[in-house]
Amino acid sequence: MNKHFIQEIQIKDFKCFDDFKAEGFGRVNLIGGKNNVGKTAFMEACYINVYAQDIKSFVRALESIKFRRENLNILFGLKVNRQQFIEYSNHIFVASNINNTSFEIKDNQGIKTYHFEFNKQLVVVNVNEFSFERTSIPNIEFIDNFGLSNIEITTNYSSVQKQDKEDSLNAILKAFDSSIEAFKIIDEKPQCKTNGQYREVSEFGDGVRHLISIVTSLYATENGYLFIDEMDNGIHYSLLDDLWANILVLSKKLNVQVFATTHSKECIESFNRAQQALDDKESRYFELARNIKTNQIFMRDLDSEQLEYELTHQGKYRGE
Amino acid sequence: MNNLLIVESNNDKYFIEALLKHINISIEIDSPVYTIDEYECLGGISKLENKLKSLKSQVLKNGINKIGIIFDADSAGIESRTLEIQQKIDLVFGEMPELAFSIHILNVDGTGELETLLKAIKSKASPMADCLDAWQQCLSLNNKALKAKDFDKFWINIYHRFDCCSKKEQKQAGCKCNNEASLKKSIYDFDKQELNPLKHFLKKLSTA
Repeated sequence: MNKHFIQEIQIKDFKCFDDFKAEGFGRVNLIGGKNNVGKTAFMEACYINVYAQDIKSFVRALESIKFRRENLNILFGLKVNRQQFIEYSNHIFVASNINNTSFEIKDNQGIKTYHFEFNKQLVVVNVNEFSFERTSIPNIEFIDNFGLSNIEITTNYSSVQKQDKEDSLNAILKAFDSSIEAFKIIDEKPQCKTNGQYREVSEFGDGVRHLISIVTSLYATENGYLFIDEMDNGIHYSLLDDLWANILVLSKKLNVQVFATTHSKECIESFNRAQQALDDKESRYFELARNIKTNQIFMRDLDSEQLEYELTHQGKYRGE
Repeated sequence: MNNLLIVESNNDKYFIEALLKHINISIEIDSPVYTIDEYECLGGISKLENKLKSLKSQVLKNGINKIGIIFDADSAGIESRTLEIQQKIDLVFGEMPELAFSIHILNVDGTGELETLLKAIKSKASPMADCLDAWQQCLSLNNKALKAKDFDKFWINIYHRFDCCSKKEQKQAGCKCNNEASLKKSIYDFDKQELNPLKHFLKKLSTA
């Protein structure tokens, strides 16, 4: 297992997690569970944990998780208040084998301070003096269920180009939809060629954008982390085996740790078939569920053999 | 209290459901340890560990307090099979004081499986199935061996299909004479003493 991969994590006071611990993560981790059990929140906590490498990247991570949640509202006129977006994650504590991260707002006699902990540093800043500057970490990506924006795809596609993998991306897209002949960025817009003409990705179904987001992100996050929320969104079940095979192969080749969520049995079945076909021992399925007695969330780790058993024996592996 | 019963195969499930109905007890029966390939069950308890791992999460999610496990004695016998099952429970669950297990081994005189028990409690005339005894002797004379387990399964199939199904039903034997349909008919005597230990086990599980 690569040293930069998250293997164990503790999350405190973040969304639905009071004090949550989980371990056993591999290179590719698929998470299933009921609605509102915390699948996305879990990935957000992991994202913050690996992203917070300095104060600016910490700020960026805190802001971006709220930003993603408010995507639709922003589209319909919600003004982004950066300070509020950051303060939304007050009290968060995420510790892993990679990084210990925490953020807390303290108010002492009217003096408000931000307390950041990351990379074994504790930084206290008076809010009035805080710059709210932020920086991006290029090889950590979070894809929500809508996929990436044109700008993000354009940025990630440059990684595909740098590695001369345009043909690989085209082959994956062609397998996805045989009418797609090629993919290019033209006038800073992602476009697919069909019937000899390039058309913007937004003219295609959601699945095309989601697939392009996933594949280009895998190249962009070499030696880093990729988080994919509702990874099968917009993708026909018959294509999921190929998609998972591509994720397993590329993540291994590019040394990317992948976390993905799904609600779909078909997606989990495809994942299981792909991990068995490739004999991928570094891929795991996790069930996220709530303990009925304690009301605490717990995570169960299923290796490929156990997952296959539960898939074929009416198992209850999605929180039910 | 939230109790759950684990059985080995679908046939066990149909049988236990019929018996529970007869003794007027309600216990939830989970999906069997083996569900897809009937002959997978011949491997003994190889998949029980997978089933228990799956149950461990169900215990937390659904608040199960007691789990009953019913397995065949096979040729291993009651003591040996109970020990094997207990070892798997210990391996998967370790210390979980709030959860109790109870085990019952289906048997006739210490060995056998569901079909052996069913044969012992059949309540209808069985001329077609009984002729298999002569067939078995014929096999022996021709140096062909058939395990007692396989013979009993075959005997039950013939009993269900040819002794207990009407001519009309036999035309739809796949759905009218299969084990699920047959165990809903009055072709077994659920008051036979061979079932007393099992009934006691089920009653205890339902009231635990």
